Formats: sequence, structure tokens, C-alpha cells
Amino acid sequence: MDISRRSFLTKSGALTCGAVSCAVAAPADAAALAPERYGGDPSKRYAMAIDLRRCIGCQACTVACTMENQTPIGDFRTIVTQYDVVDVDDETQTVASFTLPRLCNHCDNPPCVPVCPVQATFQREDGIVVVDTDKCVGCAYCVQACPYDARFINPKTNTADKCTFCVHRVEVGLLPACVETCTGGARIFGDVNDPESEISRVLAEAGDAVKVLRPEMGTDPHVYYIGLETAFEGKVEGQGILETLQEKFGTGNEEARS
Amino acid sequence: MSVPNIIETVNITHEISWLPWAVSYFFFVSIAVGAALTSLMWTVLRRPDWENAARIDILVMWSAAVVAPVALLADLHQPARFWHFYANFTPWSWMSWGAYFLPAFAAVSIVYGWLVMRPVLPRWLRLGTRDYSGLIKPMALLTGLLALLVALYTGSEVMIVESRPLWHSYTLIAFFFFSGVSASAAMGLLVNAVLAENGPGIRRATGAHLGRVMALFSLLSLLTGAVWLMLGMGGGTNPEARALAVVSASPHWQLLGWELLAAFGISAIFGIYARNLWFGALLGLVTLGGAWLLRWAVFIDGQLIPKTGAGFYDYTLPQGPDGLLGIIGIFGLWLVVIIVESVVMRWTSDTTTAPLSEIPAE
Repeated sequence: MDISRRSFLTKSGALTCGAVSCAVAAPADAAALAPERYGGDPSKRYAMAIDLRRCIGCQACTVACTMENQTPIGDFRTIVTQYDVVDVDDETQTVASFTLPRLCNHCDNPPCVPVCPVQATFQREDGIVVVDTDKCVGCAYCVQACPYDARFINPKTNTADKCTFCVHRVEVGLLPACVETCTGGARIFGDVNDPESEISRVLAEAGDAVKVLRPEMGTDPHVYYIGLETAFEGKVEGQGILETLQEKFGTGNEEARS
Repeated sequence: MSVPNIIETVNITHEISWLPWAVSYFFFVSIAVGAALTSLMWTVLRRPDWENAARIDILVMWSAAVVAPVALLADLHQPARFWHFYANFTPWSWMSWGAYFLPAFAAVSIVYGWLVMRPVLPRWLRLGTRDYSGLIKPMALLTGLLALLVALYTGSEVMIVESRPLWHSYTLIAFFFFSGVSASAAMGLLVNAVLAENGPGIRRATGAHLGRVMALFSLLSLLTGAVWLMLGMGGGTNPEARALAVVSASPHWQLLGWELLAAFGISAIFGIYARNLWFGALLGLVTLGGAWLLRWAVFIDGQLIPKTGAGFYDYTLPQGPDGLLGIIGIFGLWLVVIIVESVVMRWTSDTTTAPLSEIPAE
């Protein structure tokens, strides 16, 4: 275990004192009964814009993220989902394809943060939602609460894992790996508090065409999409590829996955 | 089946992160809660005809209250860090409250059970001869209160998950609670048939009381299901309607629905005939199967519904600890605890104790 006995005892002591002071000061501290933001530059609000008109579904971002963040095989912090769209009323029409990069939305009202029973996952003052993997107990409550399936339990660390906007790169002035590598320049990252930033300019230019995923959840996502079709905003009503394969070739995807 | 006009060609299967351990936890903890509350019929309301049933309930409560936390701990991916719950109390998270309610309930229920069972325990387990019977009622009330808090937190922590419409329904709290009480009586019927009267410690209950509890709460479970279905069929954007829209077209989910209806239906209709020992045990198995299946559907099948993607995720039950072996293991642990309880009761041959009330065996 990476926590010393001394720090355990200190914390237990703090808990006991905390419990007492809580009982005494409960009414005054009512506002404190919500997670606080800490760390990062409070003057900034990082966000990402994804211009879907420029995305060619090459998965370069997926690969770059995997290399940068060393995610285990089979788990992804970002992936470009792809869809074939057919007009059922017009069978002669060419099949259109739609690509949709997905990642953590670094919501302003992130549902994953308040559920965490040990405050391991938190939001920085610059808006980036991160996980303290030394604190995380791996209960996966945040994985359940995320409306975007953006989190997973990393089987190597046994803690919650997700996109961090490559916070380790951002802090030294680099772009997130997926942005750096994007072939079509579809991913734009920056500070939306700065009106001069590239992302602010792109979002202002797109105007009403800027959309977010699952707006009805009230999470205020900070990954903005340009060119997002309504049918793909929420849970996509369509057929999964596995079902399509199973109907055509029977089951057997268990072997394919192993 | 109409041809969908969207086919998802590239996506990943999002692995489930609440494992079958979670199903085991919610199954056993609801049984412990149900058994604790049912036993109050005798220990608080002093209904003498409930005495034997209440003692069976204590056995069930003990066994489930010991097993449930083990399953919960196993569901943590970092079980050795469980103390983080206590170093970082988080009042806005239901799970954090649960970290206090659950151990408190487990500990208090064991003491409460000991007070109730003391006259029929072997002498060395009675820990002296002082009369503690006055403590039974306050401890029973405390256990009942903690049981309700555990039921509230387990239901609420799942219900508040807005990202899953299937979970985000107030009916879920009632569903878990009612089916849990029913399953506790069901487990009682099983224990009653197999273990009771194996020695002087535990007398066989008639089965009628446990059967009635099982039937009533299975009926309440069915009514809760009906309410969920009505809310779902009413349309609109409420979570029930959104969940129903996703699952209703799936043959797998339809089958789950019929299986649940059958299990709780049989339990509700025939529960009143549970007086027959082995028929009662059989009904108990059916009801336990229903309660397990309900939780399996909510947690395992529920996590296979993508939050954004199309269709359903793929899942094969692993053979190891996070799958089949874990399930067998946790039921094995329950069996061991029940056997230990039965062995201890059998040692009670030195009956210089307060006799059980004279209830005619069947």
C-alpha cells in the first residue's frame, strides 16, 4: 500500500476532529456540502471544439492518445465512433457515413464528481476533470454516473481512468496528443475564457451550429461539436455492429475479442 | 423487425465496471434488511406466534449480514483501500454514507441477534448469566432503523444515477426493498426446511408466517413493477419511458420481464401455501431466483445498455473471480455461515435456559 501508517493515523485523527467540528459547525458550512474545485489556473477554462466536417475517421487521435497515455489494450480515453446511415425510403441512395469522436466532456456540472465517495475525482479550477489515482478505491461509481461512457476502470491500476485533456502536456504548454495528431485539424483545444484563442474564434464563427452531446442531461459539456446531426446527439437509435455481425454470421465475437 | 437507418460500424464494448459481486451484495444486503425487519414482529411487536419465524429470521439476517459486506468489498477494484472511505467522508455521496450505515447495521444486527438468541445459544456463547433481555427491544429498534437506512442508501445510490434511465427511477428503491423482504422470507423457508430442528436450538416455524411475508412482498414487488411499466408506457421523457423504449424491443429483455413476472407471481400466489415444509422451500428457491434475477437485470444487463452508442454491449460471464467463481464463492460462504450457525445451535444440549414458548410444531 502506498499510504504510510503515519498518514493513516493523521487522517483518522483528522476525521475524528472533523466529525466533531462538523457536528458543531454544520449549519454554517451548508455551502461546503458540495465538491470544491482546486488546482489549475482559475483564470482559464479549457475546452475542445471538434469540427466534424473535418474529421475523416482515421483514428489517429485514438492511436496518439493510446501511445501518450499508455491505456491498456481494449480501453480508450478517446475513440472515433463511426456510423453508416441509410435512407430506408430510398434504397438507391448511397450509404452515407458519419464519424463522431468521443472523449470526456469535462462538463461544468460533471455528474461523476459528486458521486465519488472518497473525493478522488475532482474538477480543477481550469475545468479539467481528473482522478487522483492514489485516492481512488475503484468503486466505479463515477463510471456509472458519466452520461457519455467516457470513464472505465483501468485493469492495470484498478482505478478510474479517463481523458485528462492531456493535462501533463497542457501544463508545459503542449497541446493534447489527439489535437496534435489530428490529420484534418478537426480537434481544436484551448482556453474559452480567452476571446483571442483559436477555440474562441472557431466557436464564435460557428455560432448556432455549435452543439454538445446529451444537452438534456444539464451537464454543460465543454467538448463542442460543429456539424453534429441531431440523431447522434444522444443515445444513437440504430443497430450495433455486433448485432449486425451476429445476425449475419451467428455469435462468435467472444473469440474475436479474446 | 424494421431496418434501422443507422448502423454503428466502429465502437468499443464498454466493459461492465460493477461486477457480479455487486449483484451478490445487493442481493444479500436486501435479505439481511428484510430479515431484520421481519424479526421485529416478535422482538418489538411481541406477537408470540412469530417467535419461531423470528428466530429463523435472525439466522438469515446473521448469514446475509456477514456475506454482504464481503461481496461489496470484492466489488471494489482496490479493496485494500476501503479505509479511504473513512479518511475522506463525503456527505454529498450516498456511497459515502453507505460506508457508515452498512458496518453499523452489520455490527448492531449481530449483537441484536445475539441478544434474541442468547437463551438458545450454547453456554459459552451466552457470555455470562446476567440478564440482558431488557436490551432486546431497544437493540431491535436500532437494528430496524439501521436496516431502513441501508435500504434507503442502497436504493438511492443507484436511483440517483441519471445517466442510466433504467436506474434513475424512484420505483427502484421500492423494488429492491420489497423484493429483498420477500427474498429474506424465502431464504427463511429454505433454512426452516433444511436446518431447523436439527438440534434443540431452533424450532421449526410453521412456514405460514414466512410464507405470508413472502407472498405479500412479492405482490408488492409486482405492483412496483406495474407502476414502473405504467410510467414507462405513459410515454414522455421520464426515465421509465426512456428505459422502456430501449429494452422493450429486445427479446432478451422481454424474456427477463416474463421471468420476473413468473417468479414473483408464483411467489405471491402460492406463498400462502408455504405451510408445507418442502413446498415452502421450493417456493423460497423460486423467489430467491426472482430476487437475484431482478438485481442481475438491473446491474449486469443494465450496464450493457450503451449511454451513447447504438444497440447493446457484449458480455460473457467470466469463469474466474469476477464471474462464475465469484458467484459460487459467495454462495459457498453463505452456506458455510449457515452451517456454522446450525452446528452452534446443535450444541445447545445444555439447556438450562429459558425455554422457547410452547408453539406446536407442525
